[in-house]
Amino acid sequence: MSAPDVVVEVVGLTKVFRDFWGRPRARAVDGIDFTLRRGEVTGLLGPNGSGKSTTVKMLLGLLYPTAGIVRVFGSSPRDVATKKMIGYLPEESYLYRYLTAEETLDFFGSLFGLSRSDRRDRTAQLLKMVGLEHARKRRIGEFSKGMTRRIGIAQAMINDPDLLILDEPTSGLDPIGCREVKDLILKLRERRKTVLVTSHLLGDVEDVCDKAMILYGGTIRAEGRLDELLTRREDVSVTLGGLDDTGIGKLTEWMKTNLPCAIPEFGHPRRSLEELFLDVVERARTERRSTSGAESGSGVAQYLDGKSEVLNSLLAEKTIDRNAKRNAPDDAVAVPTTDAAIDDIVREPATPASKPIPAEPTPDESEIAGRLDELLGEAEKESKR
Amino acid sequence: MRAFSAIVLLTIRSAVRSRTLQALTLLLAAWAVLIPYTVTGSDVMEFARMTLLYSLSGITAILGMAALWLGCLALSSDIEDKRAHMVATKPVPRIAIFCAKWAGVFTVALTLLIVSTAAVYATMMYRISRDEFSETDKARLRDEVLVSRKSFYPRRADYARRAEEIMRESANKRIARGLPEENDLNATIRTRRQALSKAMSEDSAMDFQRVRLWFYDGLEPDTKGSMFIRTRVFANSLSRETQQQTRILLGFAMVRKSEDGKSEQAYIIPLSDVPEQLTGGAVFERKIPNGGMAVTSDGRLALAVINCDPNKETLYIQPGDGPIVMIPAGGFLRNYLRATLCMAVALLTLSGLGCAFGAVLSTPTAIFMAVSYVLLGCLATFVSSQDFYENDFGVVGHHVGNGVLKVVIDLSEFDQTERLARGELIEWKTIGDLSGRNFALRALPLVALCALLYRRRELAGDVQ
Ligand SMILES: Nc1ncnc2c1ncn2[C@@H]1O[C@H](COP(=O)(O)OP(=O)(O)O)[C@@H](O)[C@H]1O
Ligand SMILES: [Mg+2]
Repeated sequence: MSAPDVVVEVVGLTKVFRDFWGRPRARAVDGIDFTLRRGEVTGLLGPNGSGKSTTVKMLLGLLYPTAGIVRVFGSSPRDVATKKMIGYLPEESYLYRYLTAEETLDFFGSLFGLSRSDRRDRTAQLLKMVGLEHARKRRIGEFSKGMTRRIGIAQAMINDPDLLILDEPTSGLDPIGCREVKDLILKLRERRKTVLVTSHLLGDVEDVCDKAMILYGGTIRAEGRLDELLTRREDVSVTLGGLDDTGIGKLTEWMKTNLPCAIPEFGHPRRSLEELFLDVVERARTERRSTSGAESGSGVAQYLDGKSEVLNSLLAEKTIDRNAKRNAPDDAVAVPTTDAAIDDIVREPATPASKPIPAEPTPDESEIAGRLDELLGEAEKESKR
Repeated sequence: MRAFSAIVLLTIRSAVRSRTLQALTLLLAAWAVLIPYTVTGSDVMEFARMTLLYSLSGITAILGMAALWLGCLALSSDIEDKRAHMVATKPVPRIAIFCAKWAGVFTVALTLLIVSTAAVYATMMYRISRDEFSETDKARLRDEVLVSRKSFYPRRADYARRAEEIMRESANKRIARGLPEENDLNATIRTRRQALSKAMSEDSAMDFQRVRLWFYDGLEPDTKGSMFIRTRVFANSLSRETQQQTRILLGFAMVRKSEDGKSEQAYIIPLSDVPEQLTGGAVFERKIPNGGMAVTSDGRLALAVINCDPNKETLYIQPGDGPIVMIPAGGFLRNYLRATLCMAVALLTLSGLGCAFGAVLSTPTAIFMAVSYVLLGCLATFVSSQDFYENDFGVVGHHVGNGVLKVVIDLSEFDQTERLARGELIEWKTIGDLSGRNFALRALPLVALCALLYRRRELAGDVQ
């Protein structure tokens, strides 16, 4: 018996690849258990060849387990009906080279039995989302790896899946593409969709996952909520702004005499290379757009975004807020609770995809700013209490 | 349904893009137009027959290969390029994927078939309509080729029973001569074979100046329409080399009441004043304008052949050569369409087999297996047609061939062009029989088995 919000249940899953004569060749997955719950984003991490793709393929019924049980939405992964609710991006995008971007999405839409008008709408929105609108009439065979990857992501979203399985979604993508994938995943999480992301790039997973499993040699070596996994309880870090060398000297002196701790490290916080790159490109993009490859997409396709216009704008504000924080001088004080508070506020019960999203009148910008201030103020008060 | 048609369409698109198919299409276009346009026979009959035989058989062969090839590729290449991962994870039953691929390949082959057979027909008709041939030639053409005629074979004697009799007689002779009974199995088999052979040649033989009667059933009574007699006569022996001109007299045997009305008497109405002259070993065809009148009210007919050989040789007509009585049953186009239909069934079968092998094997293995399967069928047909009565190889071949043909299709059966070229109606029963035997009973179970294996197989594992 599984709880109603259990989406994927895996018990003792094992896969042994055999050769033609049935002799075992590789034990790719070795007795793993895990559960994916509704609304969770889970990262399946591990070095190359650790069994991530094999696990994923068993979840999809492309490979059959040597031992163990897999249940997806309570039934076998080979069940045709459950596949309606799944979106899958394989480790490489295996597409028909002679189809254009548009035809490809249309084809996959047909496989889900979508009507012609639905397909047309979604194809247009998805192409916009992955930034390939300008290449919609070009053949996939002419695409670069990253562009193909983007089409792969788009096709995985065509049915607005409840369970999205992304096998190394960022491989071959430029940093903007990576960022967009992450944004997409966050959007889906807000809509209580379940996402499984495999990767060997920890950075991919860090920003978006609630939970992570680290696979090595076919077994799970570490597993848990990401903040628990990443927080080193034994270390403490302090960020101070506007301290000069004399200040640092004094502080070191004080700490040596007053605190029983090991040699402290001093340095200035850095922003990551990814952040720098994003900034540079963002600036260039506002000046002039000129790239024949994939453009950075524009947000998430509308129909995937099960929320009202108001919340959308709120979300936009939130992103601005985050960017502001990123670009702020080092001595700015970060308010740690704000993001979480906003997340709580904007997280909404998921709307079934088929239901139309109620349109609300768009309030003007000053109104949003006002409301945001209110919300932030409240959150701050909460945290001080 | 939407998913099904999307896969069908995609299969068609990828087939059309296949270089092999493009090359075959060019070949086909050349074949379908050049053959009917360039063939010259010694007369109009030969022209028409050769055009039909060469162009249609060629089209069947080319398209058959294409269907087999595309079928193999349709599934196996998708699995190997891992595009099947993308399709099989969508809510489409695997069996539907299989059937859609099959439908796609078949559609491509069928379209090419329709276009090319239409081209052959048009080119041939165009050439005939031009003043290349004399009016009498054309009339003959209309009678014998551009027509569909229902054919009737004579009642056959029971050869097996006659062979038993012959064996009993020879055994009795041995006993009478005081020889021991044969108990060597090989010898017995040989004797039986010889006995059967003897029974058949007895039935084929016509001695000089003797009347031989053949009886036909199931003809349409009360028609005064024309009738055709078609046969092949060998003089002296069945060897083709020694054949020369010979003569026979054809007639209808009838029964009439004697004048006093008490007894009945049989008589023969000759069909010509002088015996027909014909070449031994060659097909002979004769039109009998009001032949329908000789059919009894219950649809029976008795044909008489009198041996008038100038050298007083024995003449032979083999069981396969009838004599065949043919009754016009409709236009040529109808027959042409039926021959095309048979070819279409062949393409359906071959594309299905291609898909079947492609669904469970890797591309090269699938193509190898599919081609082997078809070749095995041809080989088995050849071997089983070996002269059963000639030698030991014939017997072994006959049995092995027939055994293999129980599971393997006989592609040659689908090719009804010979019948078409003879102006012989391709009956629905024939089409049903050959489709049932080859498609439904032989190919379909194999295709279904492979489709089930495809449904069960892992799509992301290694392929053999
Ligand atoms: N079809 C296959 N046949 C044999 N071995 C395989 C097959 N697919 C994967 N493997 C093996 O299984 C192990 C795990 O592979 P995979 O799941 O693809 O790793 P990754 O974590 O990089 O996705 C590897 O050692 C690989 O060699
Ligand atoms: Mg992988």
